[in-house]
Amino acid sequence: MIKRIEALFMKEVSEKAGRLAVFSLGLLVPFYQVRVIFMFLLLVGLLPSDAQHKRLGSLLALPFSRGEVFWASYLFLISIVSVTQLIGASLFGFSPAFLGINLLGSINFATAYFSIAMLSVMAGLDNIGIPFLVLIIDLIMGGIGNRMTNLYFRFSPAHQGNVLYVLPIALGLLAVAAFIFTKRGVRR
Amino acid sequence: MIVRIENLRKSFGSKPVLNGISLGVNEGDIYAIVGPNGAGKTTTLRCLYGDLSPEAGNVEVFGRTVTSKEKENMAVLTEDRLTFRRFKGEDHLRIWRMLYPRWNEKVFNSFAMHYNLPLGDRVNTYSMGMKTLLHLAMVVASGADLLILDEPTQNLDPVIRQEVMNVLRDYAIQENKTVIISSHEVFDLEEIAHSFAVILEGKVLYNDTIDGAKEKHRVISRESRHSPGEVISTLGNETLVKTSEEVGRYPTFKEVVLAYLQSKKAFSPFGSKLTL
Repeated sequence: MIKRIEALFMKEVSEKAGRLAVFSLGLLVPFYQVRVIFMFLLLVGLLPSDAQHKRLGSLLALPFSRGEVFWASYLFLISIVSVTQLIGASLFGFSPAFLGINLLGSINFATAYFSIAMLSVMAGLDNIGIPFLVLIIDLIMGGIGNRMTNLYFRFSPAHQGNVLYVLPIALGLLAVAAFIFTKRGVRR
Repeated sequence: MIVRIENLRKSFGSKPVLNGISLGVNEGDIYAIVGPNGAGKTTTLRCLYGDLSPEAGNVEVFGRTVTSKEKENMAVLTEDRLTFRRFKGEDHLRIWRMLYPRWNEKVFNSFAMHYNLPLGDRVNTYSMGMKTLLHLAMVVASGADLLILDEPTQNLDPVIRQEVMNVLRDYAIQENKTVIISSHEVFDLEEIAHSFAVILEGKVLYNDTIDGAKEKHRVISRESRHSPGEVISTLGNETLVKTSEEVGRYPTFKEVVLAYLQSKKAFSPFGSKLTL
């Protein structure tokens, strides 16, 4: 199992080295609003991009199950998001509590939008346009009115009004995306 | 039986591609899946190694449904020689080495030296023939018990094509490996395959061993007034019939395949048979 994850990580790093280097630099900025942009660009370029461009066949011809491909790609995303957050926070000297909330917020966002991008591709749509549209709607809905009275703001994966409220939503989306991908794959 | 496929159905959108494919492959067999382009050969193989999920039917390899553990014992040559972007030959080699526990470096090196594979170059700069040879080298060196080869001789020149077929035959015999080959190159297959299935429009028209198929059929003159069995199809001035009677002459493998592809069975929604 470890070897399979290592092989999938190696494939991602070798194929997407340039893109990963640029986005990782952007992710070193420890402010959530800046990280959202780079996290979005990073996550749509991983498994959702491979699925969109019919590149999964080369992976699935090797000894990988669809579940392994999905979870390894998600793990790769979360590893980059977390490591860059930790490095960025240490460079800017953030308190552990602030770091913890920011880290959980980043993981929530990455989890929710990775799942949305995968669900979009599996529905026959695309890996960038539809998730971007969802992001815009998410930002608009969370920005309506007073933050104290806007209930959606607290549950919004983009605004992260309350990271603990967003966590189950992000995990729910991830579970649905993983289930559909494992059972049905991408119909392309 | 090492591979068992039962009543496999698969559609792409509203277009049905597999319409109840059933076949079985025995251990040590070289099994040919024959049919024209678009017949469903590649889709059958993709369902077999788990790239596609069938809508109905059952696929078992080594007596179990296919998981990544079973796939360590299966090596696949895909039809379009899929490679990872920006990967050099040596990058592919590293991944295959990691994933196949019984990887044989010596076998791979023999291929690499014989065909002068440029492992330091990016694979997307290779010719299709070179990509095929790199993939074949990795498939054979994987040590897997089941090789799934989709059009393995496509893009190869006639000399290398012959050489590759001989290597596959020797490999299967000496190492007791099972090989499934999909192709429409009937001449290539006759020399190495033991068993075969003729596929058209997503269903199996006929499957048997090659020797069995020759024994069960005869080619008779079209002018012959008496037909001794089930007429499969006409072949020029002759007719292929399925019979146990000692009439006419034995057919070649190519004649059996062609006759089934041209037969009424190729389009018989209700499974009707034509007899004279």
